[in-house]
Amino acid sequence: MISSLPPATIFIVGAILLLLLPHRARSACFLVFPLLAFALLLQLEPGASLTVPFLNHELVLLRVDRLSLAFGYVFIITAFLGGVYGFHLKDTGQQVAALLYAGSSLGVVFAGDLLTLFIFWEIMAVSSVCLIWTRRTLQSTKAGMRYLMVHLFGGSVLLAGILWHLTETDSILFSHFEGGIASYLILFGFSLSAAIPPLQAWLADTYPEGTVTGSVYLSAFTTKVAVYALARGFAGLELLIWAGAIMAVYGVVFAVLENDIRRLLAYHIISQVGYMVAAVGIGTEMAINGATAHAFAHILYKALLFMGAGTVLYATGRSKLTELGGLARAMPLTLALYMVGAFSISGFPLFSGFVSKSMVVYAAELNHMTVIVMLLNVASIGTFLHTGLKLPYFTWFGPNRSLKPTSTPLGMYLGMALTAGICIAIGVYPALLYNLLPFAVDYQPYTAPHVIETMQLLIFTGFGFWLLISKLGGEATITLDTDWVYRRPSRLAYRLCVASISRLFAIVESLTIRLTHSLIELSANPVDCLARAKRFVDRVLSGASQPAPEPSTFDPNRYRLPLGVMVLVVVLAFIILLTWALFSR
Amino acid sequence: MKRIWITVFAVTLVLFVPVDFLLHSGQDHGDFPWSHVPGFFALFGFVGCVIIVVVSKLLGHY
Repeated sequence: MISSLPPATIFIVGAILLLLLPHRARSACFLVFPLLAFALLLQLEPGASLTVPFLNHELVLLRVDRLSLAFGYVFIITAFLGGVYGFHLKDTGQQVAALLYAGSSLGVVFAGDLLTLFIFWEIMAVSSVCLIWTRRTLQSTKAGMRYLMVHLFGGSVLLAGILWHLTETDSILFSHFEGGIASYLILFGFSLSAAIPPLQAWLADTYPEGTVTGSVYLSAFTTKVAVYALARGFAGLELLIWAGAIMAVYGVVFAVLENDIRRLLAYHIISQVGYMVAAVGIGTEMAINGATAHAFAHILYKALLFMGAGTVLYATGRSKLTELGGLARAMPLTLALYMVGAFSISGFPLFSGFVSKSMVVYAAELNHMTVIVMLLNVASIGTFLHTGLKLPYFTWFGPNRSLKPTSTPLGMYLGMALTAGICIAIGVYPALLYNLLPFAVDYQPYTAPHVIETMQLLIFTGFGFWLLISKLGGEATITLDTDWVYRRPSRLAYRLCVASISRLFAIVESLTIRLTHSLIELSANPVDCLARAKRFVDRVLSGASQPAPEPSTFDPNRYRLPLGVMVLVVVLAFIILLTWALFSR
Repeated sequence: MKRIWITVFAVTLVLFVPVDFLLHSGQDHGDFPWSHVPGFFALFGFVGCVIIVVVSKLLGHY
């Protein structure tokens, strides 16, 4: 049984159990579930599956192969590290939501059929919204609502595609999709979650609005699950190559304008996922390996970056570059651990990004895609510039605003340290990661030309930064992104579709109630109503302006008792007759 | 402080760019236009960075 238990069940059962445990034990017990799931994952063999009959088809609740195992491992590791980072939390809602989120991500990754995938996909959307909402500020509530609407919309399109696919092919198995409207609908659904432009506005809008620990989880799962889904269903689609390359540069360009450190990191998620999407589009074995490796490394170093930014937010209560500065003396450890993440994302040798990002670029080089390689390298420059130079400089160095950071819990440092350790370990010994990849790896990242090229690129970017530091301060602006399209008209749409319809319902409701009141009046005392009606008609017909003389009042109670007694006697007699008739057979 | 940064950059300049002249014959990445230009990536990094900063200032002010 153990060999075919979906890992998602451990997390989902854990989420329920967590509610029943005593408060003080919850943070520690939170960590147990990822550990259990990790042990389970070590038992799962590629090829294991669990099918359940459902209507005319079979649901494949578990489908294990090297691709899903690789993603499964990194999700579980991140869930554990996030749990360590958030050890200090007293907010059970966040912990439960995080477990559900991690669990449903695993559910999608190991799903073998589209229906299971969809159910877990929706659970992911809902639980991630809860992570945003637990911050409990007005802004985050609104942002969470936007996130929910966008993702439910994407989920509906995905479901439409799945159902269409089902009618076309009569199969709900999740494997490579050929062309056709159903495939495009499903591609839309996956792309929305992967934040491919023009569907990416939700990411930078909502990830910074999560809690300090919530955003760590948010950054890790949704987009990477979508990358997995794209790799499984649409590998080799040329559209994705271009979408990915453009994404990579797009994220960097928009990050340039950002002032909030976590929003800047969120835009870089778009950029890095662009590398993965482009690799999925290339579709060769090396490219899929690259996409998986980059997803693995990215989840870890992005979590580390968000942990670092979250620690700054926790300690100072601020997250805007224009409000931060001069923290180096007060928070040196955070700076050091953050820089491990920054070097990883930039692809410095000896860090995890170097061994994964270069695999993606190499796959593009093998296929002689000059423009793609150029775009990806430009994205690399921008990424290092913002994440590795501008953000740390203006947060930890820069003008001293005499901020007094509060002390941060040990768990946060421990979480960051562990994550940083893994990033360095993968960078120094890439075989750790390469052994997990779906296909055999034929790539050696540490070749002299490559290291030299990368160091040149990065050091001279740093040089440029140093020369232009004065021009780079952030400005407090709001960036208008593609979500302008639906945010502006949304008020009109709200008035049209929601407000006017509720007003219509309210009017109908009040009319109905008034009608009911009249009916009650009528049936309670019909004679009096008729008399009043007759008087009213008389007055209208005679055109008299003074009220008619009051006739003798009709007292409805005068005949009530005799009439009622008579009706009662008749009904009793009827009952007696009826029983006698029925039982004398 | 400035002195330290200048020395760092000078060192990397000396370290990496001439080495590229020597080693660039070992390009196995395919025949790209920049494969035969030594020191290309250094220039690319610097120019790219400057362009990004300038573009960002422009974008921020429109």
